[in-house]
Amino acid sequence: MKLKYLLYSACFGAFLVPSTAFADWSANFVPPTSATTPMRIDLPDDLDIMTLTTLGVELDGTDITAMLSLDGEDFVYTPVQALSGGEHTIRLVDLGTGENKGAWSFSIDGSAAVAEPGEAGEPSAAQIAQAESWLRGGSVEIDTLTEASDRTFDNLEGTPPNSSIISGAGDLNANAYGENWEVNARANYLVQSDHNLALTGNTVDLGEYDISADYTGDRMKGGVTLGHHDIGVESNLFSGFYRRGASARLGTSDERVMAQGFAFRPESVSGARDFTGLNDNEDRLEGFMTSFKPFSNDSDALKVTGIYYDGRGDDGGTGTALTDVSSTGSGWGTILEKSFGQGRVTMRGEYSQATFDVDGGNATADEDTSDAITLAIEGRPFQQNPVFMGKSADIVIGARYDRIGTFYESLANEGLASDRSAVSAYSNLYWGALSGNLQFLHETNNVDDLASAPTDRLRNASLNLSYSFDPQTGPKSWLGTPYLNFSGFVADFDRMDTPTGYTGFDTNNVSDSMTFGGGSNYNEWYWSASHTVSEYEDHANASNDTVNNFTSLNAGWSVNERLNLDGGVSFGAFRDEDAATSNYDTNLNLGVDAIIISDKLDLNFDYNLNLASGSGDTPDRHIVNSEAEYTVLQPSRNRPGLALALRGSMEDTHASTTTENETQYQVYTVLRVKAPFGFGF
Amino acid sequence: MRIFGLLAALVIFLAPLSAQANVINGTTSSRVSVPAKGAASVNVTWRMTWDDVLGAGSATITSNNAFVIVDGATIATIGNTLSQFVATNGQAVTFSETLTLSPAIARRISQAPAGSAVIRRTFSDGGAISATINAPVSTGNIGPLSVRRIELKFENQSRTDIVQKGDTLRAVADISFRSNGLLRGEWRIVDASASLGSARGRVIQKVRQQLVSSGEGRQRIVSPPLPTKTNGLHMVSFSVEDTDGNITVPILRYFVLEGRDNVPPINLSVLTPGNGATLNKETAFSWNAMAGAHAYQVEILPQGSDNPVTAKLVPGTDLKLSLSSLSFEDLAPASLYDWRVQALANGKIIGQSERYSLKTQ
Repeated sequence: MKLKYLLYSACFGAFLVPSTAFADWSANFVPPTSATTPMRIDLPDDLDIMTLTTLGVELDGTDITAMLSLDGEDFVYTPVQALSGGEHTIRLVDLGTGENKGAWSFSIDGSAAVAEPGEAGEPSAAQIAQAESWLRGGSVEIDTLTEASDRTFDNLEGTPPNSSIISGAGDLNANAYGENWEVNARANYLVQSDHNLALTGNTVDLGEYDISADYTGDRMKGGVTLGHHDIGVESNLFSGFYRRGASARLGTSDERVMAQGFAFRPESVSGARDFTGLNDNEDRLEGFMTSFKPFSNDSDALKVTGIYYDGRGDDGGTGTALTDVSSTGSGWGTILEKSFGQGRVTMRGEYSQATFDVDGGNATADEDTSDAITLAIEGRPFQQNPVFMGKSADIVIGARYDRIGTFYESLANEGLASDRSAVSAYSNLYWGALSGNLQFLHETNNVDDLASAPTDRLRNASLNLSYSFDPQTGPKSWLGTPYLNFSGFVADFDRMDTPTGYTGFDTNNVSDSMTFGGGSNYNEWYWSASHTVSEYEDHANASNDTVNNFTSLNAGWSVNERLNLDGGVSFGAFRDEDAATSNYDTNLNLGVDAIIISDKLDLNFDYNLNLASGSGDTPDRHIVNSEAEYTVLQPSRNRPGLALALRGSMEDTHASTTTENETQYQVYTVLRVKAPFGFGF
Repeated sequence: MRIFGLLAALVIFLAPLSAQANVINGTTSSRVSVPAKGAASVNVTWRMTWDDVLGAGSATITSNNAFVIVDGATIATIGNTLSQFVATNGQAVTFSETLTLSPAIARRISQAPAGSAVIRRTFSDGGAISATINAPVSTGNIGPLSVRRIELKFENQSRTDIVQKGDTLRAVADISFRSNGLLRGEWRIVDASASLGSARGRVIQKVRQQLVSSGEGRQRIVSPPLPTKTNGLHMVSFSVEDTDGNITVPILRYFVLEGRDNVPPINLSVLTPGNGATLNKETAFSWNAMAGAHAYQVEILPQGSDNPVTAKLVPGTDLKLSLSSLSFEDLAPASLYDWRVQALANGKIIGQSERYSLKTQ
């Protein structure tokens, strides 16, 4: 019986068994015979149950009390992970009094004691000798997979790709380090013999990579990075700007003063063709960033950051869908950051100015210069978390002001929502297993006060709550470990000022949305469900009123260690109230993962059903994807493995008006080579 | 000359506006708006009545282009040729088209002192009339929800990723939009079993989310976990209805390798406490279940280190714990630590969470 259940029963037992203090008693320890066998703490036979419930056991600093089984009057622990070779310590503590009731050491022999290359461990004599030299160590890990596929059967529309294809990919991670320097590299590549399917049109090509070299001296530190990276600062000028380029940084070792110069390609690129990302001076962004702490270097110290950039580009490339054209832009900004009480309160202020020419100097539109201000404060108002109903409450409150100019645009933050002056206040609560977030927002547009444009106002209130229950026991055990969540908002958008003679749309609409969800986890399975109601009502009739209901249900079942089932269904009903039309869509997914023969034969199967009806009726689609893989040779480090696979898919379209061929399928035989390599020194 | 009388009426919408206004003989009465910046698509319907004054019997009504006129000067020629054959006196004629305003055109209109433009087409069947519409600039409501930009990437910011079997991989769609309304999108996956052939995907999740803004908005949509159970090339896309037009569906590629068994994947999501929370004996660590987990271990680690200071192990049925006094003995007061949760099964770590910070009292 697990000890935790004993704890529950003890609450009942307290009424039955007189509480007797066994202040003087001792326990014995029976160590495990191997790294995976049970160990036993032999407790006195007459130890009362109440004392038993106050005991805790720690193994190598890990509290394992909840994992103990009670065998007679003994605690038994079976390691969930094989114990490493060497000395281990276990101790028995009375949590009520804090008294140490016993501590024992034992030793585990065996291969587990042998550290993997590159892992932490006692240095060998050779390593110590190396440590005295310039190069202290390093490692290289290369994971590759290459497969030859032959489309054995198919019935496909149009011109399908080559029937025989070699494809694959690899991932490289390497590092080397000395006493005060370090080089890290990461890269991946893709192989595709059919150039029409290739990432860049080449048979073998680089995906993304980065190489960084850093030096840390007694007083100074610095480094360079080449490849995909960002400048490490999120601001109105730079946000999510992870691009290929180069940067160099230099500063004091305590990071009190840092400077960084950088150059990036604004467009997201893959492939080796523009390896540095800097080959095209018509698609390049350059700049620098400095930061310093003028008064002190403690964790709460004021930090001042300055950024400048200038460049030209189109922000397109892999993964971006937009209608923009090549633009020119430049900008500068200052960020002030300060905290108090070891980070209990943090403050941030940012001002930036951006110059942007949307058509890159062509005559149609002139360039704009606009600015942005952001002020934010966040903190925990209580030095000691307040306790409500016996549970500590961690409360975070914050406020933020953003004023983003109407024509504020940056090449390094193209998706920024500009033209808004917003004040928001929020609070996050973590109280036991309850977490919540409440936020209020007041936002207006026409920040630059264009005389011919109206000014509108958005007011928004949102609430998110989630609660995780304890595992249910006894008659409620069928509830498993349940949880509930709720999210919702209401937003009112109306007109504040309309210019004389304005002939555009009026503004007066209300949006609201509520999602109720929940689920539960059991030993072998789980389920979750949610329902969302979203409404949009436009009193100005600039657009149609809509109501959307969306329900989803998901479940998964680990039948045993070899078989997992999962699935989900969603149903959506969208109604356009003004057009009096309704769309209904249903999406069903089912998945099966099975180990038919352990370490030899695996099977995966996925089924997807798409139904759409109502005014947006489209053909029903049934899609099946499946793969069976037979492992001929298991791969391991520096020893390639080999596998054969049969995989394919089928798509069946009903009521199609666009094709005569309603069933398409494709079946492949695949020879797969898996080759992970690695070494360290 | 086959001449005629052409009574024109036009109705112009900004895509896909439902409001419309009839205009007779070129006199406009519109309620349309053009965004102050960024590209826009304008759905326009030109309606007119063909009056066969000269008794020609039939004609072809043609218009080559539309002109965007600001302060009396034509700043852009947009649209394609419209043409329709008519053969009945008094016949109603309708042309529908979508006109794309480039960001530069939109910006030029907003820079005009009047803050508006005229969109004009000349229709002719030998004779000609012009029909115009006034298009004022708005920084706010220009009609229904309109998606103007989608940036798709993986959570680690990359756009081409190589992952291991069993990794938790999610994509993120960064949506830039105008106005308010319901976003109707779907996450679609092309499995390895189809990526070398038909490359037609299956829908793994429908997205229905009400979006609001005071004009321009930005919303981050995170995908469900992407399939990483089978080796090979996969593709993921996020498609939406109600775009500004000219926006293609962005697609990302990822390739699933067999993976190294000594690196547990980051695939466990935690619920509480919040990042940076102050730790006390009531602090509840809770997380979402992982299929097949026999036990979970919460580890408290020094920042920058992988060797835990203390930890607590609970059975796989538990999804929540608080640290006992055993663990607090190992923690220094008023100090910063990291924490994470690991899932264990069959003697292995099958997954772990990201690291989060906390501080002791």
